[in-house]
Order: sequence, then C-alpha cells, then structure tokens
Amino acid sequence: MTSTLPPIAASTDTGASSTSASARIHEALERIAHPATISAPVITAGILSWIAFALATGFVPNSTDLPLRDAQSVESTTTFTVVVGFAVAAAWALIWALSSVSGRLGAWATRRSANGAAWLLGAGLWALFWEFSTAKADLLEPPYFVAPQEILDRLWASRGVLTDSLANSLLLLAVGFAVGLVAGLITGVTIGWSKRANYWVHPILIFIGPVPALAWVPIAFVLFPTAYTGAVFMIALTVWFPITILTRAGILSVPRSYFDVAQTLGARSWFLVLRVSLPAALPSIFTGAFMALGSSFVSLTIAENFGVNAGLGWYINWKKGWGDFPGVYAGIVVLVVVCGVLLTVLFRVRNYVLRWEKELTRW
Amino acid sequence: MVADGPTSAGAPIDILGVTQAFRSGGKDLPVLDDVSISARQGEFVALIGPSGSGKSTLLRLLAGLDKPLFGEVYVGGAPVTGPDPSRPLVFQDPTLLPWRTVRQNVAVGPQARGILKQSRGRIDAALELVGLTEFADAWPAQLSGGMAQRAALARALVGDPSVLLLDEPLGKLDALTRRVLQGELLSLWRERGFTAVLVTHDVSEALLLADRVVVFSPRPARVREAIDVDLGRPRDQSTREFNALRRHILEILDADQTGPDRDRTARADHIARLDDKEVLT
Repeated sequence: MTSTLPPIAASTDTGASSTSASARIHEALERIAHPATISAPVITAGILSWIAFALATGFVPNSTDLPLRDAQSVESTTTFTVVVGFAVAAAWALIWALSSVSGRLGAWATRRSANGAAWLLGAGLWALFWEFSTAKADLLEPPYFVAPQEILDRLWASRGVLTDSLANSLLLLAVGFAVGLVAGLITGVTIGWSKRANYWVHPILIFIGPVPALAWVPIAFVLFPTAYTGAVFMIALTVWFPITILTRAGILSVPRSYFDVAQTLGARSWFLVLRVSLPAALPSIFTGAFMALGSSFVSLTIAENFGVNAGLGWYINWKKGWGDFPGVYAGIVVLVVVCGVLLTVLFRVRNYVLRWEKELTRW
Repeated sequence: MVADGPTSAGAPIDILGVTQAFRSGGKDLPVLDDVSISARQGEFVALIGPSGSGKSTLLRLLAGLDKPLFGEVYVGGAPVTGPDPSRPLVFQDPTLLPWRTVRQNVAVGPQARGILKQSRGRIDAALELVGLTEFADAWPAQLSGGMAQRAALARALVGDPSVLLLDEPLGKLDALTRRVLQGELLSLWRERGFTAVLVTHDVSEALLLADRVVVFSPRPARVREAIDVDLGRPRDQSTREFNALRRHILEILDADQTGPDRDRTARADHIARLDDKEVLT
C-alpha cells in the first residue's frame, strides 16, 4: 500500500547535482514567499523627511503669534521632539542596513523596509506639515490645533494620570468583554442548539441587542448597585449581542454531515455541542468578536464619562473641560494606540486559531 | 498491520420489510418499499440502482441515523436503535472536520467515547493502514481527494467496526485513484473481516468488490434482483463471466430507465405526482 503514496518523499538526495537543484528550488520558493523589493529612493526620502522634521523642529524659529501657554509647552519639549525625529530616522536606517544581513533577521528587515518605506515617507511629510502649520507658522489656530511638541509634552507631564486611566480602561474593558463573551457564547450555543430556547430568547435578542449603550446609561447606573457594575453591564451587553447573533448563525450553518459522522463514531450531545458545533462556528464567532470589540470601545468611553469617572474616556472629557486641547489629544493618542493594539491582538489570535482555514499548501 | 489485529469479525445484517418515506414539499415521498436484504457475517454486499432510489437511505437506517417507518433492521442479531461506532458510515464526501488535523480526525471516535488515551496506538495503526502516517499532522484542506477519503476510512476503521457502511466513497475520485482505493478497500475488508455494505453507481466497481450485488428499482426502491458474484478473487474485469454479469445488471437497470419491464404502479404514481405538480404551479 505504501507504493500508492504520492511521491513526495521520493526526492531524497542522490548526489551533488540534486542538492544544488533543491537549493535553487528553495531560493525560487523563498523569492515567491517573500517578494520583498526595497525601493531605495523611497526609503531614502523617508529617512531624510524625518531628519528634515528634526532639523526644522530644532532650528526654525517658532511663530511669535503662539499664545504664551502653547509657546512654553512647545519650547520645553523641542529638544525631545528633535531626538524623536532623529531616532525614527536612525531606526529605519538601521533596519534598512540589516536587510542585507542573511538569515531570519535579514528577512525580517527586508520585509519591514519594503513594506514600511512608503509609510515612513508619508508620515515624515505629514509630521513636517504638522510642525510648520502649528508651531512654526501658526496657520492652524490654537487652541484646537496643537503642535506635536505640545502633545508629547502632555503625554510626559500627565504620565501618572494617563497610566492610571489606561489601567482603569483596560481592566473595565477586559471584565466587560469577558462577561459579554462568555454570556454571548452560552446564549448563542443554547439558542443555536435548542429550538425552544431560540423561541424565547431570539425575540429578546432582536429587540434588546441593538439598543445603543448610551440609551442604557440612565437605567444601568440606577439598577446596578455600583457604577462599576453598571459599566460592566453596558460593555458586556454590547459584546453579548454580536457574539450571540454570530455564534447562533455559525452553529445553524454547521453541515448536518458533521453531526452524522460524529454520531456514527459514537459522539453524544455534549461532544456534538462542544467539539463539533462550536469549532465549526468559530469563523463566524470571530466575526462577531471583531464587531464586539469595536462597539465595546464605544460603551467603554460612554460608561467612563457617565458614572465611572475614571479611564481614558473620562480623561479626554476632563481635559476638554479645562480647555486643555493638547491634553485631549494626548488622551486620544493613547486611546488610538490601545484600540489598534487590541484589534491587532485579536487578528493574531484569530489567524492562529483558524490556521486550518488559511493553510493553503496542498499536497 | 494493526497491532492487536481484527478483534471482532463482521456482524450479520437483516433488513426485514423496511418501508421508508419522507415528506418533501408537502408531498409524501416513498423511498423504500418493503425492502428485505440479508448479509452474512463478513459478506461484502453492493447496492446498485438508479440515482435517488433510496440506497443511501438504507445505509442511514443501517447506521442508525434514521428510523424506518415500517419494518426492522437488525445488525448482529440486535435491532438497530441508534448510531454506534461499530457501524460507521463513510460518505461520498470525506467530511473530515476541517479544524482537526488528520490524526485528530481519526481520533474523533475514541475521543467521543472517552478512550482517547488508550487508543493512541490504534490511531497510529489506522493511519498506517491507509498510508497516511506521513500526513498525520496535515490539515484536511491540504489533502488530495484520495488522501482525504483514506483519512475518512481510517477514522471509520479505528473503532474496529463489525459493519462498514460505504456511501459511494469513491464516487468523486479520479479513475486512477479510484482503482487504487478499490484495491485498498478490498484488502482492508479481507484483513479486518467486517461486513461491508457499499452503495455505488458503478456496476464494474460493484462486481469487482462484492460477494453479492443487490439491484434496486427506481424510487420507491424495491429489490429487483440479488446477484451472487461467483467469481474468484482477485477479479479480472476482462473475463467473459465478469462481462456477462455486468451486462445482466445493466440490462436490469436499463429496463427500469426506458423498457417495458418497469414497475408500472410505482412509475404511474410517480408520473401522477409530477402531473399534479405541474397543474398546481
């Protein structure tokens, strides 16, 4: 029977000629797998744009029209901003240099350089424009438009409050998301599996689920013993809804043949639920998780402003109350980074869990 | 090849006066009409008939996935009351669970029955039996059609079944792979000693593999004829006896498609239903 195997194992080394042939094949496959071509002009322009940003920030005099508060803030952070500009340029120059190294590090640096060059240039030009339009020429009016230096200044000055706010936001989000996720999975599996449960729960889901978090504010903070539990409820609810809908949809679309096969192999109900339905529904569940993560940020910031009085959402509004727009932007910068990182993490988790979907090498 | 060898020989099958029907589009649709078939212990039976004639329905009854409206199904002397790992079903599509590797798919049965730990050796042996040891950690999406169907066979065989139900398992494979797998199926059957029931559309395949070929009428299916295949093994498709049997079976099937020998009442019913449908729509 072994003779009927595909001849994949037949390519054993028989001599020098076949070794060099397989090396050639390996190189060709490597080129196809990582078609990275670094554009030297673009990456050079990108590095130069950041050097230009650093030099302009440091040596072009600031506008004399800046309000005193902004002028001081810009002044105090100029050196640091110059360092940031040079550091970005230096880091990319280093990565570019590493791309000629062989091995995994070289391959990584090549990919980075090829991929990031255009963004490096775009961001550098944007930074230059930003710097000139605010601190240098004062074209965009303070206080609503602020120079990069001012945001860096606030990020540093408020690092204590910002760290606390970040920790509070992440904890509240984690608790709310976890509660909503577990509740959503349980509800989704239950109503996807049981017709009777679906009869009772589905109408409730359809009517309660889409109600926006903001509308829950008056009730959530009254019905729940503490503002914190109210906030957890609001976040959990916005997570619960998409997770439930898409878990149910995923389970309803599991091919009947999967159940037939599992049953003829001796599977009972619990195996069918946990080992057949749930994994088969995972692609759909992850779609729900992406929707849930997006809407959970909304409920998080709402909850933070209407009862919890802590966290990044609260910080941003608090700074706005003081008319401190650099502080507002600093809070937004942190929030943007958090959202981006969490979404990326979810993508990574999804790609790992659903790797059986993506694996395309066929034998 | 399996470490502990075939532990259970095949079980005899008795299908007694089974009638099965479904409701489809508000109409009652009879599928099996008073079908009785028996198979001896370890016998290889092929079921052949026009498409949609209820052969797969019969396999689902044997697997315990459906219950007949009338009649009884016995396997090993006991009535079939539900699915059981001793009667696995191999489908035309391999229906491997795509999120499990080949090895994990073969392990579904033992895991479902809570005997995964004790079954490691059996799982490896089943993979070796179908020649997939090298591909044990591959995802189903990476397999060719033939390899996927081998994995499905290994999954069915790991529980050491007494009856193996095969619903056109080679129907979607290319001619070359099909030939190879026919040979493998045969040697597995001879080695393990299970009773095999194979649904197929391919007369040559039926004659190549089976001890007995049961020919069905169009729906609702009745047994037209059960033909003993008294040919030595390994079988040679080019012999006169083989071709005589082949022609005989094809004649029965052809007569049902066009000839005067068809089951008039069933066909008349069928036509009447079709007429109704046309009038209604």
